[in-house]
Amino acid sequence: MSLPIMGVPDKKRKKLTVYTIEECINCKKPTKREFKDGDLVHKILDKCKDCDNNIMISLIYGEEIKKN
Amino acid sequence: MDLVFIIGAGNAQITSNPIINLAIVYLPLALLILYGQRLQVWLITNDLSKTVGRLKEMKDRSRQETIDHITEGIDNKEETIKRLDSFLEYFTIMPVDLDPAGVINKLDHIMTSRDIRMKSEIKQLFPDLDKLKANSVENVIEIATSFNFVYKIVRHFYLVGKKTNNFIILAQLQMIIPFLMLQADALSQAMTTFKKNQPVGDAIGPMIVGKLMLEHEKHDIAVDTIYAESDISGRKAILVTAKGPVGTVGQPGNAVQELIQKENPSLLIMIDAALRLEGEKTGEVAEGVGAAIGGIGVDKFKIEEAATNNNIPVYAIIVKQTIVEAISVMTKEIAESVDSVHDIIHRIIDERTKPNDKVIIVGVGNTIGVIQ
Repeated sequence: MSLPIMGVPDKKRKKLTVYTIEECINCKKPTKREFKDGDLVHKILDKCKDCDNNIMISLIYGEEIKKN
Repeated sequence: MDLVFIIGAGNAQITSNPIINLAIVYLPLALLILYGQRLQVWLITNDLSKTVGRLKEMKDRSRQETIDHITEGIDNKEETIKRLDSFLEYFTIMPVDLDPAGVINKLDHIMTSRDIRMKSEIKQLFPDLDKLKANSVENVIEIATSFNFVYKIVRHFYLVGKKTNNFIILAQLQMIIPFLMLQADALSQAMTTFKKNQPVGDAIGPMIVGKLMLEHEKHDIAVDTIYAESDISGRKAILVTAKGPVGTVGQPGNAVQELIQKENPSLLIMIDAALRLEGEKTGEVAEGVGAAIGGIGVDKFKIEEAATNNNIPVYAIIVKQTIVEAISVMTKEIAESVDSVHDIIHRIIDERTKPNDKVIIVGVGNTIGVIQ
């Protein structure tokens, strides 16, 4: 038996999927993919296929999975 | 019969039979009057025992997760687990504040000693770990220690209340439990984030300033703290933040004190994550005045003192979020506030300073997962 206690926190925890946003330093073309171990914000990755400049991780964030 | 007559006068009869009336209405009423509080104690104890059990489960899981994380690829697991259990019982004794003069220096000394000891013990225990992994281990152990502490405090008051049948202690614990569970939930989510070196909501300050620092030469200014010089709208911008990508908040207080002495800036801008109120939106940006920095107050004191002594205005920009969001993986709403904060920084600099002035911009927060 349980009392209806005051201020019970929301038990429905949001499930977040973590994404990494890669962006070319020059042409600013963003690519979104799932987070991989070793990803860090502002880490330089490969060269951009379009303009041959560096691609950098611009953001890493968690986003709620939307049910269809 | 007199009693039945008086009660009957209050129209509280269920049946015309006074014996049944007595059994159904008045006997339970009398029992509730006499034993109501005992019943409440029983109900609260029952409820709290479930919560304490849930906290214990969370604490045990965090300990196990910590063991799995730190013993990965290590041969002498038993010795490591033994050391971990002693880490979980570590405590910090706060300095005496009966005479508050100079208490900040004492607090600073104790907290610095604590950090140095923790780091050196981890280094001793895992000499082969690189800095990023060693820092991840340190953060994970800190989370497990916090869990252990919360659990032990809750269990203490639960057992004292139960032992003494003290309704007031139990009721107070029951009232505060939802907020403690929120903190426990936040710690539980933080464990995964810190293990993977993902940026947390609190990393928004270092991320905003870190982006301005890219392609500029960085210099060490205090423990785990760096600065870089840049040009913003013809002003010399001195950018300060903790040194990522390890999970640290650095020593912005010492850094700002030194830079104010050295550079004599005309403005100080601080960017930090701040707890939002219910009803406010996550990722909302707000501006204000004052030192935007949390913690136990050592860094805030140093910054306020240096700014006051040199008559430097302190402007604050905050990105709102909850306590859970501040220590778990950064959400999209928070991450996308970077550009709007940059716009505000530019506007403040344009409006509040003159060309060739010097401005210190501090990104406050835990810089986990963020390179500058």
